[in-house]
Amino acid sequence: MNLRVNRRKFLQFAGGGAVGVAASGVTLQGLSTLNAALAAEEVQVPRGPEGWSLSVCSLCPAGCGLRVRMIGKRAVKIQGNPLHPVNRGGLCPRGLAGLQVLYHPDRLRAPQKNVGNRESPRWKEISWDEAIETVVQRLRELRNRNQAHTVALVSGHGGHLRQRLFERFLRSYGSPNSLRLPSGLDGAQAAAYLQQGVSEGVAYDLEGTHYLLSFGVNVLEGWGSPVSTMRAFGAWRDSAAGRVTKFVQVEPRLSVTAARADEWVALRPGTEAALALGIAYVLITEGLYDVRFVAERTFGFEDWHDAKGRAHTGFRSLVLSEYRLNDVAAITQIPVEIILRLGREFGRNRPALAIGGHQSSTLPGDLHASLAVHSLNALVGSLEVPGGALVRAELPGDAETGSRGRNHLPANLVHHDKALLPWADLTRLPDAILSGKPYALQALLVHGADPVFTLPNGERFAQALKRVPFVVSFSPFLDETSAQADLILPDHTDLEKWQESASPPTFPFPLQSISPPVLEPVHHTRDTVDVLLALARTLGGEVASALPHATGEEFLRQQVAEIFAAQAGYTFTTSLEETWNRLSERSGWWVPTYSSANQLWEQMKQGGGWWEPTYYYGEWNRVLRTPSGRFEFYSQRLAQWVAQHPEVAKESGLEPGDDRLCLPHQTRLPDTPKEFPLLLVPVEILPLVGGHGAHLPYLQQIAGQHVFAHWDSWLEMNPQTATKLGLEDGDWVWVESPLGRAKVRLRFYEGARPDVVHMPLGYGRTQGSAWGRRGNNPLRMIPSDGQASAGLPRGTQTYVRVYKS
Amino acid sequence: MTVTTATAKRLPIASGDNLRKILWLFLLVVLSPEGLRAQGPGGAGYFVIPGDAKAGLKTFFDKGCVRCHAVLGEGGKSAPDLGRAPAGHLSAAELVAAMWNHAPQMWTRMQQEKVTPPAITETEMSNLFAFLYSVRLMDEPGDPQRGRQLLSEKRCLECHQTSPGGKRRAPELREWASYRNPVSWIQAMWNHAPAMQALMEARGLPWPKFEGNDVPDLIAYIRTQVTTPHRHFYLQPANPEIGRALFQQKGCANCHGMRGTGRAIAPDLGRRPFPRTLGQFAALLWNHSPQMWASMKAQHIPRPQFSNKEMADLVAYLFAERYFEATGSPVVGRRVFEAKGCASCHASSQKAVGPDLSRWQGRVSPAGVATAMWNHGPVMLGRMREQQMSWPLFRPGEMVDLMEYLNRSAPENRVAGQRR
Repeated sequence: MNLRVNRRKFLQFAGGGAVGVAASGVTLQGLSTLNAALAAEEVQVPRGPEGWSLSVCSLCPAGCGLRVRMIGKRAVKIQGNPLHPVNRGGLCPRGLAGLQVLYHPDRLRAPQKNVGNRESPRWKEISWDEAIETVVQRLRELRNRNQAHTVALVSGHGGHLRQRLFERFLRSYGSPNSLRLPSGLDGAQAAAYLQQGVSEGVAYDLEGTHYLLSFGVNVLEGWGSPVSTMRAFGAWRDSAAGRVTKFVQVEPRLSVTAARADEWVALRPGTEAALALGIAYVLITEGLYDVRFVAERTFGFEDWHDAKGRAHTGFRSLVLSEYRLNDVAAITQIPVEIILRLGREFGRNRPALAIGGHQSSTLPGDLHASLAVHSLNALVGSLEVPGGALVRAELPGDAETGSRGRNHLPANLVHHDKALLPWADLTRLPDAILSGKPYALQALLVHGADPVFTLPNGERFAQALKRVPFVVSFSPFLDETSAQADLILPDHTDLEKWQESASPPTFPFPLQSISPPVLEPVHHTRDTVDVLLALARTLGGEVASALPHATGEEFLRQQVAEIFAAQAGYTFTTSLEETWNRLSERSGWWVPTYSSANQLWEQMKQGGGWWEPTYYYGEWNRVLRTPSGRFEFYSQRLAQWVAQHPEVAKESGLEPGDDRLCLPHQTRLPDTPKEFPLLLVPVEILPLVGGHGAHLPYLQQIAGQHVFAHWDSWLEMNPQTATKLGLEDGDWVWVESPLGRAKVRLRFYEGARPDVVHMPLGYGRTQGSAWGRRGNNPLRMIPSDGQASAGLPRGTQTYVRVYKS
Repeated sequence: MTVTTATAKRLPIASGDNLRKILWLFLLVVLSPEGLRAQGPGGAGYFVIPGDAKAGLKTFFDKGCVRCHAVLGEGGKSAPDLGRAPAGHLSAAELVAAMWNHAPQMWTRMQQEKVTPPAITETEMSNLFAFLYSVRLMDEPGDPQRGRQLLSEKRCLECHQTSPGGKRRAPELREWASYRNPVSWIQAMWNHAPAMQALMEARGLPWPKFEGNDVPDLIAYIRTQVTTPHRHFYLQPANPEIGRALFQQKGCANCHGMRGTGRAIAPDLGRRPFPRTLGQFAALLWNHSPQMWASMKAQHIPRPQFSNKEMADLVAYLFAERYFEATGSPVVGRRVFEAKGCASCHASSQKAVGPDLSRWQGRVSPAGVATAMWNHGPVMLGRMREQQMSWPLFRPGEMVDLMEYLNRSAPENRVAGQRR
C-alpha cells in the first residue's frame, strides 16, 4: 500500500522516530502558518529490500562517516559509520538531520535562471544544457578578453578533493581568486603561522591531554569535530583507565561547554590575552615553565639584540613588567588567587594544553589572544608531545600546483599575497569588488557557502554582489547569496553524490573519506564536480587538459592513486586493527591490506576511507618553519609586516617600533558608550553551527534548550540587569546597536554577565525555506572591522541597548 | 629445540586450511593469504608460530588484560607494560616462566580489585603469546634528546652532520630521517661499515659501541630532522623463509652456526644471548662489525651487500628462530619437577591432589602450560597456601627443561609431600 503523506508527515518521516517526536512539537510553534505553504504530497512509504550504505556528512567541516539504512530506493535512517576514525559510529544532531536535507520540500529541483533582476529576482527553471552553455559562454568570453583573472570562486566546507578540483579548475582557467569562508580556527592558525611558521594543519591531541585550558573555545558545541571532541571529553573522565583530565573553560558566558567543564572561569569579554599572560607570569615567576624547551626551541623569550644591534624586549620581560597578577586581575575581573591557581595547575599537570582565544566554530578570535594562548603551550613544552599542540601532515597530493592558465595573475583580488597571513580573507572581497581595485570582478562562482548570511560583513557582501555582472551559485537551497545569483545550478545533497572529506579541523592525522552515492538523485540536480568537469571539457584548452576526467568518480580515483603512491597509512578499520596498525607503523612496519591503487580504492569505498593513524612527534623542521627555526614568542614575520604597515601601530595605540606589536599582548579594550551600555556577544549553537540548519525542523526544535526557546531568536540577559531595565522573562524587546535593531524574545539567563547580552547565530534568514526565515541575525547589528594586523574578521561583538518593544 | 617437522607436531599447529589462519611471527608475519600459504621445507610450516598475533591483540583487549597492562604504551598503566617488561628477549617457554612467576601477584591484585580472572583457552593463549612476542620485537619510541646527546658522545658528529652546509666527510644524517624501521639502519650500517671503519681509522676515531636503547634513541633524534612530509619509508613484513635462504646464500652460514648446525667459527646465532628488539639487534651488529669484518678478511670472505628487503628477511629468520627455545633437557626437567615441589601434588597416584601430569605426555606446549596455569592457578595457589607451600619460581631455562621432561616422560608415581 502506498501511503501518501503531507508536509507535516514529512517532518516526522524524514527524521526517523526521535526526530519525529521532536518535530511533532513543531505544530505547537505555529506550523499552521507554514501549512499554508505545504507542498504537494510527496513522500511515499518505502518498499523493497533493506540495505546499508556508507556516506560522509558535510553539514559541518568534521566530515563524519555515515551509515545509511535504505529500504528500496529510499534512505530511512542515518547513523555513524563505526569504522570512521573521526566519529567511530557516533553522530551529532546535525548529522542525524541529514535525511531532512535530502527530502526537504524546499530544495531546488533543477537549474534556475534569474529572468528578473538582482533587486527583484524571478526564477525560471532551465535545462542543464542551457545552464552549462550559459556559464561556458560567459567564461569563454572573459578568457578571450584576457580577463580570466576577474573570475572568483568562493567555497565553504564542501569536501577536500572537491576543493582541489575547484582550485585546479580556476588556476588552469587563469584566475588566482579562490577564496574560502573564514574558519573558527583561523585565529589559532594565525598564531601557528606567526609563531611556528606553519600555514595549515593546526591540531591538538585533546584525548591525550591532562589539563585543558580553553579560552572561550566552544569545545562541546561544534568546534573542530563535534563528535570526536565529545569522544575526547569522554576519555577525560574514564576513571577506569586511571584518567582524570581537568577541563577549565574560560569565557564570560555559561555556555554548554562551560557548564560541562570541571571549572568555569567567567572573565571580562575580550581579556583572554591578559589572562593567558597572567598565567604565563605565574609559570615564569614560579619556575613552572619548561626551561629546556624554551632554551632550545624558542626565540624571543629573553631580551635580545638584532643584527643591527638594536635591543628588543623579550616575552619574559614583557610579562614580568606588564602582566603582574594584580594588573591582570584588574583587566580580567578574575581574582588573583584564581589566576595563581590556574597557572600552577597548568604548569604542574602535564601535558597541559591551552586553546583559543575566544573562537566559535566559524568565527575566529583575536590574533593577540591566540598568540598569548599558544605561548602558554610553548612555555610548558606542550608542542609536539602527546596531549599537546600538533601540526597535521599534509594529505598526499596536497602539494600539487597544477597548470596556471595563460592569464594567471600573481595578485588576487584581496591581495592576500601581500597580507600578513598566507590565506585570503574573504571579508575583504566586498571592498575589493566595490572599489573595483585592483580590478573589477566580472564573475563569481559560489559553492558550499552563503557569505551574505554568514559573514560578519554580509550586508556589504550583498551590496558588492550587485556590482558583479555574473554570479553563479551551486547551492541546493535558495539562500541569501544564491538569491542574488544569475544562475543557480543546484548541487546534489550528501547522499546523492560521491562524498569525500579530509581531516576535520584540529584532527592530528591525515585522513581522506570517500563514499559513493547512496541513492539516485531525488531531483533534477547535479554534482558540482561533474558540472565543473563538463565546463572544463567545453571550455577546452588548458582547463580541459588540467581536468580530463570524464566523471567526478574518475577524478577521485586519480586522487586516491596519489594516496597509494605515498605507501603509508591504512584504510578505515576497527579500533583493534588500528591499534595493531599503529603499533606496527610506529615501529617502522607497514602492513597494508592493499597492493594496488585499485585495491585501495575498493577498500576505501567499503570502509569509508583511508588515514595515517600514527603521529610522529618532534619533526621540528616540519613544524617550526619560522625565520629562526624556533617557536617565536617574538614573531619575526609579524615584525617585518608591522614595519611595512605603520598604520598598525597607530590602530593599536602603540608607537611604531614598539616590541609589543610583535609579542603577544592584551589589546586596548574599547570604552563602553553611554548610550549603548550592554555588550552584545553572539553565540554559536551546535544545531545551527556555521549559520546553517535553520531550515531543518529537527535542528530548530533543539536549538535553545537551555532557555526553553525554539524556532526563533532569543536574547539572553542576566535577571539582575533585566530587573534594572524593568524587563520580564519572555518580554519582546528591541536590541539596538548603532547599525540597526532587532525585535527578539527576552530570556533570563543567569549564566550571562550583567553587562553582556547574547543572541544565537543562525537565525534571521530572509530567503529560502520558510522554516529558516525566523528570528534575527545578530551579525547585522555588528560593525565588521577586520583586524588589520592579521586580516582576521573581528566583527563578533558590539555595544547595544535593550528596551521593551 | 629447532622447530623441525617432528617437533612442530607437538605444537597445536593445524595444517591444510587451518594453516591459513596461522600468522607468521610479526616481523615475519605475512598477512596476506598468499603469505599464509607459504610453508617451510616439506610444507611443515618451518617458522610458523602457533598463534595469530592479531587475534592475540583481540584477546588482550577482550579478556581485559589491557585494562591494567599496556603494550608499548597503549593500554592501562597499573601493571607492567608487556611490550617492555621483562627487559630481555623471551622465548615462548621463558614467557610462560615469566607469567608463572608473576601470576600470584597478579591474582592477588585482581582479587583486591574484585576482578575475576577471565578464563582463557589454549588457542587464545597461543594467540596472546604470538602477539606478545611480536610486539616485544618492536622498539619503543626512542628519546630524541638522548639520541642527540649520543651523537656527540659517540663522536658521530666528527664525520656526520645533521643539517645542511659544512664540509663533513660522511653523509648528512638527515638524509636518513625518513627511514622508520631499524632494519633500514641495520642494512645501511652493514653495507657501509667498512667504509666508515676506514674513515674512522684514518681519523683516529674509536669504533663506538652502542647498548640498550641507544640505536632507537639515535634514530628518534635523526627522525626529528625530517623536512619533507610524507617521506616516511616503512618496510613491509618480511619472509623468514627467504631469510633462511639468504643466510646460506650470503655466506653467513660460512661462519655462524645455528643451534649447533653449521660451522662454528663465529657465534652460534641460535644459542648466544639475543637482543629483544630490532634496535638492539642493530647495535649488536654494529658493535661487532670490526671484529666480524677482520675475520671475514682473514678468511678471504667477501662482505655481502644487502638490500633493505633482504636484510628484513634475514632478520626475520633470525628472530623467528629465537621464538623457540633450544632443546630442553628431560633429565634436568625431572630435577626441576622435583625441586619445585610439583611432584608433591601432581602424580599418577590416586592420592595426588593435582591432576596427573603424565597425561600431558607428548602434548606439552608453552601455550598449553600457560593456559593450564592461568585457568587453574588460583585454585592451586589457594591449596598451596592452605598447605603452607610457597609458589615455586622458575629461573631462566628451567621451564623449557620441565616442559621437555613432561613431554617425554611420565612423572613418577610420587605421593604428596615426597621430595628429593
